[in-house]
Amino acid sequence: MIDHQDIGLAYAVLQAEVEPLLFLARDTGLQKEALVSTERLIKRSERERIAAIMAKDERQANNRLGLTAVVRALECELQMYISLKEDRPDQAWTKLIDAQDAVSAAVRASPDFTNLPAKFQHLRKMETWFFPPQVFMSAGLIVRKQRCSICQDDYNQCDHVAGRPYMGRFCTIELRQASPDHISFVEAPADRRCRITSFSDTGGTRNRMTWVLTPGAQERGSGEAIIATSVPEMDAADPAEVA
Amino acid sequence: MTITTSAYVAVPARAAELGSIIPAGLVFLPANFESAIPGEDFRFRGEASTVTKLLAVAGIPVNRLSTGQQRPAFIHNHSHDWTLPIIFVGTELLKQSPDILSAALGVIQDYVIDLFKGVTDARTITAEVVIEDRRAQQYKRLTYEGSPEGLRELTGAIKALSRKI
Repeated sequence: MIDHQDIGLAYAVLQAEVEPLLFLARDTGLQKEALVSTERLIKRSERERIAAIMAKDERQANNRLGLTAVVRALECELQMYISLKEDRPDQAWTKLIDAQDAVSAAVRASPDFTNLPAKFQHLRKMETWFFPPQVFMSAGLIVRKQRCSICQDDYNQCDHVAGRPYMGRFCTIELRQASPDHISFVEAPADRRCRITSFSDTGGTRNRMTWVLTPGAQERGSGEAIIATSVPEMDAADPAEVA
Repeated sequence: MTITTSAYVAVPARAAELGSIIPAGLVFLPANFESAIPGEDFRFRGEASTVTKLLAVAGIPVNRLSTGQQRPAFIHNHSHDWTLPIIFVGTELLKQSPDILSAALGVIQDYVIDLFKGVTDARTITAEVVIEDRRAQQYKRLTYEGSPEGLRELTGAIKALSRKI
């Protein structure tokens, strides 16, 4: 049986432990210890989400979907600070965007998490506090088949609506038989992980985040060619899915 | 928020050129309606599938333009903004059901606001509605770009335009 009160209390205890650590200056060791607590609560919330799905309790399942996302946001924010201090700014950026996505997901998952827009705004501001300006990209795809992530049927034929939670899971459109149509540079991408991470410069390849020049790679193109790569890791959002 | 009005191709003639007939009711036109060559697949904006479902639940049937032979393709832009499929509404429908477009846009607006809740960034929604002016034998396209909340302004612009036709 799911104990709603108990997990709420567990979340309050976790919040009290983690919130004071959500600053860059805090001790890395304490932040890593807090990650153990966030992971523990995420696992518990996930167990209870699955139990609620088995019990066909949609309200509870969606609540746990939201709770997992809220705790994931705390976890990602901690990981962002740790990555920054450990000289891994590209990973820190990814964790920041993961935290933003998790907050947004929590609000959509359940009406129990409506007080988070201020948190989202705070996380957005961190982009300019901690990181240099980024160049974002957006991909356009031509898709022949759209599959519903909930029922696995043709998305055009089923009743599920993309972006909405159903029994502890979000409906997304899985894109099949997709071919690239275009890639464009945009100011506001859907996924802020899609960005230029490096470019060719005199003497090698320059990382856009650290500005470190890695010698030797510029020979791949002419002196004025730009070599761009994007999305070093995509652990939170499948690029072939849309809400 | 901006709403612009521009001339659009003669929809039934263009549909015939592409081997199709405009069905009754609200119709989604493919994004490549103006540029496609006969035989080319129609490409609908990816949001068309979701909007079709939402409108069906609200009792507002909508049809996608089709030749009956091609399999439609969908354009998915991985961008921040949300783009409605192009909606065509003929004179007859506007006269018989003058509120159908505002009802449809209201349903879409509610969905998009819900989809973006929790995200405090400004999100832009783009909508294109093509209206037939049978008397003038012209087709007008109204293009809206702005917040989801401002979409109701498009309804007002459509009503103002439809009073003149």
